[in-house]
Amino acid sequence: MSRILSPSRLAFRRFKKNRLAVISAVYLVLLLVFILIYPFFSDVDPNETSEFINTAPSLSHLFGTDDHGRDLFSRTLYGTRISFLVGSVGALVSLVIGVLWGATAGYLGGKIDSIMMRFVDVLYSLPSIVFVIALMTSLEGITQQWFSETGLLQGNSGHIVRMLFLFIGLGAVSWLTMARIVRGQVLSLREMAFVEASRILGASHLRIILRHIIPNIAGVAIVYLALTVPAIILNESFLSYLGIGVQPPQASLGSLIAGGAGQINPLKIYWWTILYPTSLLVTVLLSLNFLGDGLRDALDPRNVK
Amino acid sequence: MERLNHIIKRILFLIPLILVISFLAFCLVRVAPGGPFDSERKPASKEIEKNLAARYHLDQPVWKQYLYFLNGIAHGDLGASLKYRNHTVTDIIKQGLPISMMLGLLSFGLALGIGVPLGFIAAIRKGTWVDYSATLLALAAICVPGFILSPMLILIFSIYLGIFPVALWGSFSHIVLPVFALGIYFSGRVARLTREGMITALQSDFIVTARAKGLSDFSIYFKHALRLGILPVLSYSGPLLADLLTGSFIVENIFQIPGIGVFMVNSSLNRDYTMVVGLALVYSILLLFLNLLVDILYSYLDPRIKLQ
Repeated sequence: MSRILSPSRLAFRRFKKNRLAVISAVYLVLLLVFILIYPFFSDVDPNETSEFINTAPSLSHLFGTDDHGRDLFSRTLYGTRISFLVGSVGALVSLVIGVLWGATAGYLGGKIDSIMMRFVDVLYSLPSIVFVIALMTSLEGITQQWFSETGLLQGNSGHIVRMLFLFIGLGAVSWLTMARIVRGQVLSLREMAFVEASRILGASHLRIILRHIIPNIAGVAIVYLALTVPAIILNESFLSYLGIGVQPPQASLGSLIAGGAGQINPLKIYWWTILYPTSLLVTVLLSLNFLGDGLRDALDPRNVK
Repeated sequence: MERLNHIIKRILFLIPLILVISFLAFCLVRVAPGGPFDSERKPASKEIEKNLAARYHLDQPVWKQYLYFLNGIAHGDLGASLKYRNHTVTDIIKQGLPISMMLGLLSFGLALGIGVPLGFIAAIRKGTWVDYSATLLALAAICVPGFILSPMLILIFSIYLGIFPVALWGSFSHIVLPVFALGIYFSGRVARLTREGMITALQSDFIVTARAKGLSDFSIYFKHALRLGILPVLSYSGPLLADLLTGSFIVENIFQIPGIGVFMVNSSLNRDYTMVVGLALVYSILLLFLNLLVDILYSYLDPRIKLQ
């Protein structure tokens, strides 16, 4: 074959060969489409309580109902949406901080680089759970005070604020590895011949960063981003278990599972309150991980055969 | 000799790092509005509040409080817990840490015991169904949250089968379920790292040479490739052990184990300042020393890397 393929096309071809990754991608897309269009076809309110408490799955309630008589099918789909939202926005926050921090350190080099990376080391050596909790509680306290003083955002806005802090808090503890990876890449890119050539030709720093550095770290960043999303979803579920995740009656997959797991007792097990959200969470996390692995194998130039 | 010098230098370098970390932890919890005594009975008079604040130096500026704290450490005292009165932080750590450490060490053993063989087999059978099922198994272990795995284990092994006790900490049979609940997740991580490390190792030139020399598979895998392939697991062992030894909130909470993992979370939720900083300090010191240990071991296993 004499056609010359672009690197991205080659990467796509490698990705297609990875069956697990392709299946995962298809599953995730179908799931996303389904949870996004579902609200338009159903008028079941995920937060509406009823007298049918803890009923087993049936035709009217496909996944059964929970301890408040809420329909678990719509709650699970709704929770999946929230989990995806928290995971992807949190990952984006970590991407922005991590890339900016790492690229700045790597590009400037020298003293600034070592100070910035020592800071990352210090944050690494703090127990991250303490970090998240302190961050979340302090941010929340400060803004609640601020909101009540200024009178902005009244009434039922607590869950929006909480969600914002989940994004920021989870993103803020997940950027460290991204910063390290990006910094390493930039450090070696900076010394590459083509960057030097461009510098000799009189290109500005901005042009070098936009034209040469960013496109070359995009691959690594995308791969790591794909692997950060499931990590953040899992972290959010832990925070939900602690009671500082999404605010009820809002639900994430994690808070649904935590709610179900809290009701496990040897006499009567409402298995549907755990089984469905758990299977959804596990399959989502699995396919996100497979997708990330597949992307890494496809985009990593070392794998070119 | 040169190596010893390096090690001493690195240990000395840890001291300022630990100071910075402790200061950061100190500030971090204090930024949070609300104090540790906010949930006390409210009608308490202003004087009582004032006295409490004065007793714990909470009326002083943060940097001064930090100096008090440092002074305490110099006398081997991490201060009194603000929430668990009559207990000093040192006491609580002394009681809980050995239990968390024992649980953590056993879980670490389990994680390596399951993870390394699983990743090893996956790597030498790369691309076959063995590899796929091992990879799937390892990922599944990572994707099941601990707060679902622990109740499941209790339900199956304690309530239905009645093999192990439901909770608490005492005899050997109490240890089994929590160790599995904690170790399985990390065995998945270890398996993935081992697989990647082994695959990279098996592609390197010296393995090709070893094959060309006609060495047996056994000798190639175990004597040559494993030594290099295990390195990613080794570097992960530092943070992993630090995490495991300082306890896990979920497992200790569900199995009612009196370790320090529960305190780590509760004290940051309760703003028990002295406790948070004390525990964070334990964690950081452990992590830094373990990382140093890992680096030293690393340079022995892979002589190409020099101890910096």
